[in-house]
Amino acid sequence: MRSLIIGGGPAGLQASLDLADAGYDVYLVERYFSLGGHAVQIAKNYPNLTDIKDFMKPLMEKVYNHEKITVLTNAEVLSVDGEVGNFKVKVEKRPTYVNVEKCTDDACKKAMEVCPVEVPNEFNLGLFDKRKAIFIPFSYSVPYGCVIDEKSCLHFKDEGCSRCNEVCDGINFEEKREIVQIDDVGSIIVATGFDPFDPNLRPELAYDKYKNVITSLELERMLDENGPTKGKIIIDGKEPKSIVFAHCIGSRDKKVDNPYCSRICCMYTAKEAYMVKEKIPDATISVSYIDMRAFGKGCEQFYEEVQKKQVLYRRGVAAEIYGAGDQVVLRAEDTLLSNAYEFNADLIVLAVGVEPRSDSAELSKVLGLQIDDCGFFVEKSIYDTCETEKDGIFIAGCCQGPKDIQDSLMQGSAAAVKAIGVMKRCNN
Amino acid sequence: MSLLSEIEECGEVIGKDTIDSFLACMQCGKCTGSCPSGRVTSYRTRRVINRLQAGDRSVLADPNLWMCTTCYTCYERCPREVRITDIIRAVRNLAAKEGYMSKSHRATASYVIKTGHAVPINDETKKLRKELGLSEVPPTTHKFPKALESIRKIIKKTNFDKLVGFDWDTMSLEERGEK
Repeated sequence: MRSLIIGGGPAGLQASLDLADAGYDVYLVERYFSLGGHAVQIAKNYPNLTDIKDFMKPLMEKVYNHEKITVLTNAEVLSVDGEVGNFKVKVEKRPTYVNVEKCTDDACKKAMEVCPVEVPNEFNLGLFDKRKAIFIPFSYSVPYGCVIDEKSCLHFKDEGCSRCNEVCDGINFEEKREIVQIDDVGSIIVATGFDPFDPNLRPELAYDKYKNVITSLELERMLDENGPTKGKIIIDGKEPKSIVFAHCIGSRDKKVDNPYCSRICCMYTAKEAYMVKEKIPDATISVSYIDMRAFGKGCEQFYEEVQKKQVLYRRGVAAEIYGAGDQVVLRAEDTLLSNAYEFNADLIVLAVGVEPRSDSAELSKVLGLQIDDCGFFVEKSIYDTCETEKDGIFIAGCCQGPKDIQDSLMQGSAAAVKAIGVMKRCNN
Repeated sequence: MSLLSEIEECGEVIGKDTIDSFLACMQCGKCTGSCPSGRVTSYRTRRVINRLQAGDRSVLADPNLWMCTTCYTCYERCPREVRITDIIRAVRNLAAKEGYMSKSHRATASYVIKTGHAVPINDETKKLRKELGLSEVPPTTHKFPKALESIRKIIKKTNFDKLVGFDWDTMSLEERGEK
């Protein structure tokens, strides 16, 4: 009997590892080309500012190389039949047209060099750089090596380009889509994660209008030493000297159907403000917030540390944003003073909230699970957030509700224990 | 009677749900920050809601209550879907009942009594209508003076004239000490 994990972010990775270490065979299905989820787009974690890479890279490698774990990346679950103790799962494994076993630094470099296609690099949110149709997903992707994105590759269009094939012998354009049938699946853990909120749904914040209004995830890419700007914060060729962070963008907001608190934005903003201040010591930094929610272990202390870095917290949500010359202006009410203020800034960072995956409704149908009004998977009871109404299917991480990396890992472990319990029961 | 139920009564046509929605206000300040009137007046939308939540009757006598232009920007943007503008209108009803009404609002009311329009037609508007290919005078009380009689009947029947302090003899507003 084996277990199926859907989603290779922190929760899915941890669940896979715990199950495998307990002696169970695991299939881990990940939609993207690499394991890691959104966590690998982030440079440092709060509240202790440790490098996320130092944690995620070994975790991903351990899972990938574990003899009990079969990792299927670039793959998606098509159907689930059967019941607890004996699910039958059909997975679509899409071709990447590259045998990563044959990847060498030199061959990959050459292949990417000769590729004539350039498209925005989605890992960096399309904002900073372009990638080729043949590319390495990111600096420490697992599996590591090139993949071909068939949507942009010219070989699959009329032009019939094969330039990468001429410089690299790992390429196989004949590779086909595979259907992998997995039987004897005792338990399933769903850990499909989240989508960041699209701030265009709040047009008064003018996100699509100004280059110097960005999302927190976009800033994360700039804070990453291995990212597209090598850790430099550059807006329109210049280092910003005045920065405002705006909390609760797409959270606690019924107008965009997200009435819940996203739980992570208060603290990731505190961390980002801290990191920006480290990088630009003479910057003026301000944060517009509604309520400060620093509930995690060590978080309140970290918040205090950030305040002592001269990051000014002003109570009141961002009301609107508009341009003023090269700068942008955030207008808000300081609700403690009962007066509106305007902050002229070189950069405004929108702390976007956590949303369920846009296709969570489709997956819920495949699995026979319930989703709530917001699109998160529904747990059986608030006292047991891993179990679902469906025996043998468990949920973990942000697909159940917004949470940080620490909590996602913990729920991944908890789901693994539940899965082991159910499989023991079915074996007796 | 509590301030809340009094406002509810004054906002009967708008409905209890609308009035009650201000209880959900989380004091984020989106409304004040978005308010075009607040840019030039001392009207602080959130403060009004805040004072209503606290049952503070002095809000009825506050001249700021009349600074809202009912543009509905706060209403559109409120993340807790507080129906702010409608509530302000209901609170104004209550304030007017207690004798508090801004002079400019009374003046607007007197135009309705005198002409059937809050904003009567003028030469500029006539010119604009003509340019747009419309009749110079719109098919309202301007064209049908008889309809004005019906409007005045309603005004007397509902005591609207007394509410705003309209003197039928002089066809103008009574002098009222600004409360």
